[in-house]
Amino acid sequence: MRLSRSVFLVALMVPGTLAGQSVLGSGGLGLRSEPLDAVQRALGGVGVTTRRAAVLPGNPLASLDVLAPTIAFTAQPQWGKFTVGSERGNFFANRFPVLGFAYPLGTKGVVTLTAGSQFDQNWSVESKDSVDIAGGTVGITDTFLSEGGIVAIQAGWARRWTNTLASGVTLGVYRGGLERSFTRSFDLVAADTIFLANPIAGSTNFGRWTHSGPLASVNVAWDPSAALQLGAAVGWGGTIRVDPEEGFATANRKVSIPLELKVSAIAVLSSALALNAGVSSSNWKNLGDPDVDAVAGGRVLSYGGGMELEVLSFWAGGLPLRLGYRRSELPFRFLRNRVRESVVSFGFTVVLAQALDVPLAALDVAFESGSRNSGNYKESLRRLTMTLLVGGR
Amino acid sequence: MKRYFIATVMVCAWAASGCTEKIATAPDLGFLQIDARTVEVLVPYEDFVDEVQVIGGYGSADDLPFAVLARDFGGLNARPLLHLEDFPTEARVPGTDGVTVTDTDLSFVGGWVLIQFDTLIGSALVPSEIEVFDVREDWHAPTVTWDLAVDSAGDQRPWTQPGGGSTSLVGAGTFDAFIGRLQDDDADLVDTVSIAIDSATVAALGDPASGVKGLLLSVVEPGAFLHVLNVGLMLTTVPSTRPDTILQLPVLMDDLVFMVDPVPTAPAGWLRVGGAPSWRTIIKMSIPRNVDGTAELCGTPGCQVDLTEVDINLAELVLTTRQTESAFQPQGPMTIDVRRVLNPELLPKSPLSESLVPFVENLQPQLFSTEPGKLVLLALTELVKEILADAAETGTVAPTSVALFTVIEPLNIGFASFEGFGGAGAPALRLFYTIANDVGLP
Repeated sequence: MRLSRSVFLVALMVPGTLAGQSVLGSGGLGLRSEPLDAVQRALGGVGVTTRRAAVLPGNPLASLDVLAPTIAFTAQPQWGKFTVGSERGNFFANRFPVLGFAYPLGTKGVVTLTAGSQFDQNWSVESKDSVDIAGGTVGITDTFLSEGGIVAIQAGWARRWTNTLASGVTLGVYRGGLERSFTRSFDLVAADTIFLANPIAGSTNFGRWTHSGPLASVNVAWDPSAALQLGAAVGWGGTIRVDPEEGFATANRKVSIPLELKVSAIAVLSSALALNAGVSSSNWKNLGDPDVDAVAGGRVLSYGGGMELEVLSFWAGGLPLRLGYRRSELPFRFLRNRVRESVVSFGFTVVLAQALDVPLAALDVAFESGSRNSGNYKESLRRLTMTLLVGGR
Repeated sequence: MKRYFIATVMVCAWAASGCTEKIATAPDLGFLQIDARTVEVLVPYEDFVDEVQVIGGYGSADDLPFAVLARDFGGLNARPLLHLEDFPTEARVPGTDGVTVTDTDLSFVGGWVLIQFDTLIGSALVPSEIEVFDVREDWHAPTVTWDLAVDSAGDQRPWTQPGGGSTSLVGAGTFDAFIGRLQDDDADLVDTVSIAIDSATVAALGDPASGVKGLLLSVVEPGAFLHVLNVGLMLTTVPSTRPDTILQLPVLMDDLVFMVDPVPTAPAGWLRVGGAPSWRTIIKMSIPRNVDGTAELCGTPGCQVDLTEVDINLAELVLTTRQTESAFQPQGPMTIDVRRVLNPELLPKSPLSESLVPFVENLQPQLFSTEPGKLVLLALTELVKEILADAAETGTVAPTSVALFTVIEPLNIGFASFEGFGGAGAPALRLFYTIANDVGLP
């Protein structure tokens, strides 16, 4: 029986051929990709307050309760459909939004090293047309391809000052790369079935850039009672430099990342039931570059909430079940329209191994279903997030 | 430990699966500022051709796997020549007792000259009277021509009479491909004629002191044109060990070549590719760096487009087929290749580059006879791209020479002809390029 469960889990975690990302990431720095783990996704959280120890980029407080060196790895396949006017299509993607390591410093402190996604720029568009050549008509296909993204690599430190108060800081850098290419290819057979004597070579031009910049965050957590935890975080993004790679003559760009304020709370109503709620806000305007300002979304607000119920046991430990909802505004507009995402979520945790009632390895799973909209562009979204945490949760 | 192992397997599977990601596509929503436009431009002869040379003499008729036999075919006369090897001096003869013995005392009482033709070429389906002559002057197979028996370096010897010197008739016969159908309507076509020769002639052919230096073939009917694939001499002998028995012994042949008259002269004002010996056309060209822009690109004032700043999608040398002189019109498809002349100073023996065309053009013979005036497009895309890339670096467009030739030299006695400078069908360079804005940041 154990064996069959293992096979099922492996199969669940190996996605098939995944392809593509949302074209909503075509403006500004791309599609905002928050580095949240499966627990936060399932609870509609903003990554500030946690009921269980976790390794979260930008929040070393989440790791204060780890009992041993711990690594966390998150994979996130997502897929969906889009409609814009009469056009329809599918998109597929697989991302790894969180990779982290936490090392406890006694019982009151922790240091973390994390890499978390920030912006995603993987998308493409394609159009078909024709051109006249030697009295015939030749079909052409134009493909614009964008491949890249920005991650934040952060080192964090947190300490519990009293039994109810803790704080932490992170320092880090943005790192990223982007390649954008345009390709025009020509059909071998003309629309009027005239066979062309010689193949027409396609055209390609492209540019490459790198991203760099500093970032930091300050986190505070306060437990006013045993049943309530409050948390707040301020993230400072500094300025992201977008520089062309050598050999590509394109002007560079500097984008100021606004402060982001996050507030969250967890209420533990009983040993089996907890509620979570959070909100984040940032003002994406006056970013320092006119082209980016032209698509900036202004003040964006994200909020969400969820509940966690743990009444069942499975495999090596409890089986907490989670439900949540989250609504987010994205920092960059698409075709002059704001982009909004709303999802409902469900999740659970499977404790893979534990010793002396201490979980040593766990798999958190969250499944989100929702939509992203911008004007008449609409996406239905399905997102599966899986976090494997090995160490001393 | 087992659970850690399972977890490790899952992590590895996860990571590996992520490597398969591909990018999907959405429709063009109009927010890209690439503004790509693809434009066709035809560069006329005078704007890119510096010089045209038509050079003959590549290979020899001796290299062809057949010989041409013709009489007044569009003014062309062609006669095959061949050398005979020594007659056999012994034969294996089966005795009455069943034991085979070697007989070295052979008496040749006659023979046949067997001539095989290609029934798909020329006038092979019309009966032709074939004559076989002996040749009594020394001749050199690689260099023999209608006028010269030997034309090698330092040794030029003309025939005493053009076309093979003074000869004597050895025998004659009629080649009729349909002769088999006189008896049977379903019989296959015949491709061979057998010409009998008498014992005295056989003796002369086999005697080195007789002065016979080979055989020469001729056809009687004006307008005849045949490809001779093979010639053989079969001797009839009576062995001394068994006078009641007749044996057939073959004599090996050597050097099946042919002479033509007249030899085609160099074209004046048009292009030629092929023939035997083969002709090549060398085009020295300078790709213009700037061409006129279209109204789509420039608007009404017009403008010049710098080709070093656009993406060349297709560059084709546009040739117009021309009717070849009737005697030398190709009898089969012509396969024409284009290569860069690597060292023009060494012409006609300059080395050539790899083929420039993605696939070799196979041109039908009627393009050079009954259907002239058709366009032939030879792709030079990679060459033009290379030239323009060099020009972008150096600031000047270097002249480049290309050679047009048949893939196999020689391929046929016929050759392809193309219009030259001055007419509507003069060679041109067709360019197909795309101009687009730089790919920038969003």
